[in-house]
Amino acid sequence: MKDRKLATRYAKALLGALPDAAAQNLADEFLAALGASLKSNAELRAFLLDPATPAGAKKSLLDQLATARQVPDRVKTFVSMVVDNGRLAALPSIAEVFHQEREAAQGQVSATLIAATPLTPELRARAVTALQKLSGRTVNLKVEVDPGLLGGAVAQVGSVVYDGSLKTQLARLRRTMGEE
Amino acid sequence: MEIKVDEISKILRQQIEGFRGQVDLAEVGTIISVGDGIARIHGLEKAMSGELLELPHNVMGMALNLEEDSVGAVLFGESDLIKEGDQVRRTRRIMQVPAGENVIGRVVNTLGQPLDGKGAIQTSHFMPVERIAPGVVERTPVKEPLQTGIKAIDAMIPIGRGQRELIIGDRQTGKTAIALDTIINQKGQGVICIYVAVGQKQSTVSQVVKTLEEAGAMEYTIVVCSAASSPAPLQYLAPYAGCAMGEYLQLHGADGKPASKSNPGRAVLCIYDDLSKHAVAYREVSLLLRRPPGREAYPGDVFYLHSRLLERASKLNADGGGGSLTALPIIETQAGDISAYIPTNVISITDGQIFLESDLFFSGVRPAVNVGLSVSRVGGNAQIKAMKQVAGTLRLSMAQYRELAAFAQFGSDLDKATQDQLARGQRLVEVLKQAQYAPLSVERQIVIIYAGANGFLDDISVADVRPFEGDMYRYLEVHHRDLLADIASKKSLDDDIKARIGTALGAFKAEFKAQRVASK
Repeated sequence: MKDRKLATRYAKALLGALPDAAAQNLADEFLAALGASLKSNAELRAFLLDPATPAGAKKSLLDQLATARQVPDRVKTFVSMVVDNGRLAALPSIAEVFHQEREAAQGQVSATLIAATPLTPELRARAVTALQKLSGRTVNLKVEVDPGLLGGAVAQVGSVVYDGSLKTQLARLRRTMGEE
Repeated sequence: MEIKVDEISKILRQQIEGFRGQVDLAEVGTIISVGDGIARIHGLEKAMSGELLELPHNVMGMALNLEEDSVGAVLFGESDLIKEGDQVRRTRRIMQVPAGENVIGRVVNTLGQPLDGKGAIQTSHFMPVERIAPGVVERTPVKEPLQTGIKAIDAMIPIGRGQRELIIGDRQTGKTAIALDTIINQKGQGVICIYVAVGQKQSTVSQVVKTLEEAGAMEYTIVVCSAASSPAPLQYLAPYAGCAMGEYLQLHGADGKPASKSNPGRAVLCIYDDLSKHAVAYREVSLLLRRPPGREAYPGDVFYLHSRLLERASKLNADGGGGSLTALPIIETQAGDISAYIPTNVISITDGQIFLESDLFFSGVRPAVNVGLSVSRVGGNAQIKAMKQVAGTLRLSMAQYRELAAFAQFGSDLDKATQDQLARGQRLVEVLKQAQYAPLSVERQIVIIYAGANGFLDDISVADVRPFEGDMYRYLEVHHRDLLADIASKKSLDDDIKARIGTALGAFKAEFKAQRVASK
């Protein structure tokens, strides 16, 4: 997270270079996948982040991966530029910032909903509508389940949290009764 | 009387029924990094500068740096429990401290929590720590005296209510002693004192509290303590917290209602001990927040840091209740260097300074006030007329004496006039000496300075001046009570009073000389 400023610079540049939403979405998917595997796959990390690996080898590997996913040429150029500048280590955070920037540019926002019990599709749709109304943007909802909330749900859109969980309400009830 | 279990459960049931479940709305951010009492937070786009933030484990923080994609905040309390990824909530409040009548007589920390073990502070009044100083329209010129009880200061460097007078000097020159004497002298004067200790040893602070308690001065004093062991952000905020407590009293009458023409606000004295350590604490906070360093590594706004604090000292006009807040900041210099960065800053902000010197201190002149370098730019208007009359020539005589004394070291053949002037000067220096924790009322100060300046002491040996002074107060107390009372009430010396002082001094001197001869 420390190199956020750097990541923002790269992500904004790439976003500006991509012509339309379809290309942006493809780039987002590719970068997210690459970022995730770079975090989880030790072999890939060892290969890509090792300064001893020749830049050409890194580039050709990434190029093949990109071609397999039919990613726009601009993204390939971008990845090889990242390799040339020696910023591969920052790729996961670039992917993260790129995702946020792409959503903001397309009038979307990510939201997380943590519920006490798994949601039915119908309930999920209602949550999406409600959150879209509140935020005024298209919501990409991610649902998690945490039985620790006891009941209700907690929704986070951007940096605003709507906490309607039973756990928080009980805590507040305890505070009111304790104070009086 | 017996309380039934039914009753209790009924009340509880009512409370639960009355409880409405609501959705809790909060703006949050995530901690990116934390350390040295500083946190960088991602998110919190709408946070305001100076806003309080809520962190896990009951830790509070204050947003100080608002950057493009992160917020820099200082943490108050146990910051070692906070870790990366923790959630931070906005509170939409700025920092405030408890204020009001119940804080008086207490020892508190920067957050207003008691440190004296006398229980919780029961008050519902709060004041914001950072507050804009009163404007031009609300103020009135300084005109009432704030007596320190110290002859050298009240006569030559007078302090008025609402003034800012710097006390500056090396370590161990009696800076805190002057401040404490001033607090002790406010007994029965209706002045509420606030002593802010920044970055001092806990033992020193407890010594101060003990001294004040023994002198009966804790009843009208608040001690705000942010010791050397407390985190830098708390040290940085301590003077503002003390000032806020003072402002509440200044702006409210004794009945707790806002001050007005008919409900006078209180006179408050704030002592900041000391602002050099305060600047160091602020430097620490600033550097940790990665603000660019300037001269001596202090940040660029270190001048504003002190000017906005001292600008809050004021004397309000009658419509605002006429309350006053007098500030006595203290600065510690290194080897008498008053041209260092922080001392010059604070000298230029304040309405004058009391300069203390180690050389004077060790040669036995205590309080070690350097009369030549000390000034009070506005206090003269606040001096009572009688004091002005006797002290008018004092400054000049002292200056002439110092010049002659330096010159006289070269040779011993001096004419009579010069010898007389030297003798007068030596006696005046003795007159201005004073013991610690022994403040004097203004009428006593007037009589002894009158005696010195008008030659009543010229035929008393230099070593006998201080015994003479002590015996004279006792003599006046017994034989001339009405004279002291008249000086205090008339506040000026007319010919009648001058004549009476002359006779009283003449009679006492004869008695004193006879005693001296008898004892030899």
